[in-house]
Amino acid sequence: MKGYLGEFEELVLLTISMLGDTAYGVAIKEALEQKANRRITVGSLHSTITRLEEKGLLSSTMGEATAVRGGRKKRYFQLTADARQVLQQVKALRDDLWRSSELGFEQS
Amino acid sequence: MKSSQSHPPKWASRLLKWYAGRAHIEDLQGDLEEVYYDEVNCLSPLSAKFNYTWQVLSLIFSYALKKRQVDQSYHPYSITNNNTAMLRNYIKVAVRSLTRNKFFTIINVLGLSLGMSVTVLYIGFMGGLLKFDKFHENYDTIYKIVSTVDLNTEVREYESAPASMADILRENYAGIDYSVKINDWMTFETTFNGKELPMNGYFTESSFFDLFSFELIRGNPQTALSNPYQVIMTKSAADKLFSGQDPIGQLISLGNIGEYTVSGIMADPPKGSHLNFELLVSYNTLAILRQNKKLRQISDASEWNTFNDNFTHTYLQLSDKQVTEVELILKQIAQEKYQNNEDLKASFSLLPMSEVVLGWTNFNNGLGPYFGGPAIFGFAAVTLLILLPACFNYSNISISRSMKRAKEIGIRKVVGGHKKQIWYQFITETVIISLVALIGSVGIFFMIKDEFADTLAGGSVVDFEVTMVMIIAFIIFAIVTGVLAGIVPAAYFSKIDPVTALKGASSMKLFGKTSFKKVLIVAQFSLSLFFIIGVVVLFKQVNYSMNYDMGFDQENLLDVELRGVDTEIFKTEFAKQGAVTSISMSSHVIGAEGFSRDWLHYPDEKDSIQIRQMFIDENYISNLGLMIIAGENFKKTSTLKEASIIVNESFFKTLELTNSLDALGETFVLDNGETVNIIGVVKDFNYTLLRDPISNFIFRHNPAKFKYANIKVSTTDNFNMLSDMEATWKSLGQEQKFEAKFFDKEIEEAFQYSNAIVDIFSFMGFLAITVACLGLLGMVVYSTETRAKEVGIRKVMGASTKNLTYLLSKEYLNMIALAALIAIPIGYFFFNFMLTMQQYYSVTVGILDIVFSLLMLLSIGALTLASQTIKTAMANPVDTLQTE
Repeated sequence: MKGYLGEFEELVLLTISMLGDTAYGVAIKEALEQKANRRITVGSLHSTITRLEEKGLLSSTMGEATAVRGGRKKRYFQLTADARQVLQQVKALRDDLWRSSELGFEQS
Repeated sequence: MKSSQSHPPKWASRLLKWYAGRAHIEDLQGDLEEVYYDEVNCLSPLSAKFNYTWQVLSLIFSYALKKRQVDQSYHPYSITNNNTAMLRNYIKVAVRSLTRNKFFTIINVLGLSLGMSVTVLYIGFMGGLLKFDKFHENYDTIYKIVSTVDLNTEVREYESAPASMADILRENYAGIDYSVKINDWMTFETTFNGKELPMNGYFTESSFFDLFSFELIRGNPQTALSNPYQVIMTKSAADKLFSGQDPIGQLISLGNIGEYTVSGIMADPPKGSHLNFELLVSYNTLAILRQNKKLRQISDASEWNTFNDNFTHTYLQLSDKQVTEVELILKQIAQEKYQNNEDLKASFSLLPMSEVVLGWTNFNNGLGPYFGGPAIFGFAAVTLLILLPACFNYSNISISRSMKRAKEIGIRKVVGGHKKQIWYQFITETVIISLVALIGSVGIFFMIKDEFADTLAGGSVVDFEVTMVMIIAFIIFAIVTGVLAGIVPAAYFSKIDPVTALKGASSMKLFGKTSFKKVLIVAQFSLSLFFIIGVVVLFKQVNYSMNYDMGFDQENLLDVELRGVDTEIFKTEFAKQGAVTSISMSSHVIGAEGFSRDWLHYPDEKDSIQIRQMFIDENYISNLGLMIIAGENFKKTSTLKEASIIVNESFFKTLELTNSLDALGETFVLDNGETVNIIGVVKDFNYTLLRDPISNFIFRHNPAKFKYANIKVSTTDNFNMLSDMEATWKSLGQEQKFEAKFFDKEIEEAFQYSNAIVDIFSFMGFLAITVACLGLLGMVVYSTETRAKEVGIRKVMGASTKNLTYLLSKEYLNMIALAALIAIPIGYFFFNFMLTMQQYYSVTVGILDIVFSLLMLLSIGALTLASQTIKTAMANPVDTLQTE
């Protein structure tokens, strides 16, 4: 596996992939807060995103400006091919551990 | 209206903007604001504002912002993932800068070449050693039985083991794949058709070819050594002896041990084999020879008690599991053999093939060369002593030239060069230099490797061949050296502040006051002076020893090994020769070997006196020119000769007698119970060749103990005399070789060891002083270059060339003086200690020696200085001042 992936990092990656073309800071934050039911600060989210960029798991492009942002541009994030591979590996590992754990493997 | 049109708190936005500085945070600000306006819809403005502030703070302390700030401080293109492009750039810039400063490049390459040469030699040597014996396919599974002998007084380690050991093992333990006994005998004259060549070889068994990977070219490995009187020759030995004839089946005679049939021809043992031989004789011949008393080798009965003269080496091929089992059996054998022996206990163990040459123990009776642990570490230390100063020098020269390069670095930084990139730039430069220097070092290595191998015992069998692995090791070493030498300048340059660098080089502070480079130069000159003093005093010691009056004559005395010839017959036959003046007999040759210690005491006293003794005949004292100061010599006719002793002056002093005449007639009892009388006292003479203080010494008379004849000769035609003597020797029916040596030559040989040390010190001294001078040269060139204008102005104002030269050199002369202050006391105490360790009667380090060494260092140092300073001082001020 390519490097270590933290739990929050994994969540951020999955959220970005869920949002697809509309993944920018606030969208990610809100989606995550809603799904995971926890408060996230802009600072901690962007720190994680920055680290994921350094790891080569995310790339970004600057987007259009909107009035609600005081005319400021959005930065959109996309998963890289590496990110997809890493996520697959994480999932495979989890599944494997689940299958062999005594909790029983429940397909959901 | 106003309340619904609420805005985020301005101060928080400003704080973020101010904190971010030049970093791009547009998207972050946008995110913050969007969050705020979202929240304002469902929360009170106050809590929205509070939340906004909270988010701002979270960003300020976040990694995201920090990272953006760092990125912003460099040009967007200054960080690139294209490493090869950067590396190409580093190399290009490095080559440009190196070719621009040819003089310094040459100095640096030269210095590093010399410094690295010793390490390259070390790597080459180690490469050869690690390859030792590896050509054997069974290398990992071959073991040798070695003996540890406890003689109560001391413990000795032998590489040999009793001959019947292998037989006992074969009988009691079935699992061993192959075992082989090798009996290592001396050189024998090998004769075929009147052609005579000295050859050395082993007695061994057929399994020799199963165990070892020596190649038998002709003959059957199963039968070639199975019958007595069979011999296998190496290819080159056979070529020499038979010169073209087919050797197989021929009869050759070996010394006086009979005629042998050549049963096989094998390839020469390759270099890097600890087994080296020209002949292999079937092992079962040995028993027959012993029966016929042809070979003086110890019998089976005493082999468990005599280890000194036992030359049987036992090799086994064992798996890991078998090793423990065999070791257990060896333990049992030792227990059984020595349970009733009070005087001697021996134990046996297995030595892996890999530790025979390179192990920690230096065994007695070694079959091949030994280059073990301690020597290798000592060599490594010496290597570093030469390499590190060379690296320091490089750092020195680089840093002292930093003014010239400060502008370049300043510009690089301004246009976005990273600290890390500057660092890589300088490391690349150094690595390139060290790689170029490696070529020089390898050149030196090829020049000195053979000479180096010759000075080592057994060095000629070390395989110095350069392999691919070795080349890789050399290159890795060069790169490591480059990084080592470059790390200080690289760290220094990468830290340069571009603003000061560009404002003007002169405003830069190069070093602190007591700078590192000065310390280095002083240390190097101290080391150089240390070596020079070493060469001077050791040379003095050798000279002193050679000219020392040992108290006996060395000239025109020929020592001949008797090898069992009857002394009386020898005397009468050799006395017939014209050149012979007189012949005496002795049990030892002074200086060639040590004397064993013995004890004697007064008949009525228990306290013993320790003495050294030597057996001589009545002519010895006059032959060696010893002086009898009281009493008389042994008389030829006297029947009491055996019970008489002649003592030296020191012995008589030990007796605390006032008059030497009083000693005469004193009676003593030897340790073996014999009673002896003093009949004479001789003046002290130096029987250990200055190594130890003269102590109690006695002469006794016993023809049975004579081993050497000392022939006093009077001729200048040594060649004819020796060939006449050899003819006489042959006429006595002797088949062993005639061994004769001139006494003075033998004494000279005993001092050869010191000469070797002088050579080593000279070489090291040469390296140290060259490296030191190159370092000095680099610094002087720098200082004269930067002070050229100052010198010009001074000259215009009327300073003389002499004054200016002194001005430019002063600082460095002070450094050399400081080096002298450090090195002289250390050298003085170290070498005084070393000289007395070497021999008891030794020279001391005198003021003259030190003055001479210092003058030498000063003249070399001053020459280096003058070559640069005089040029600058003489330069026309018009030339130096006109350009600005």
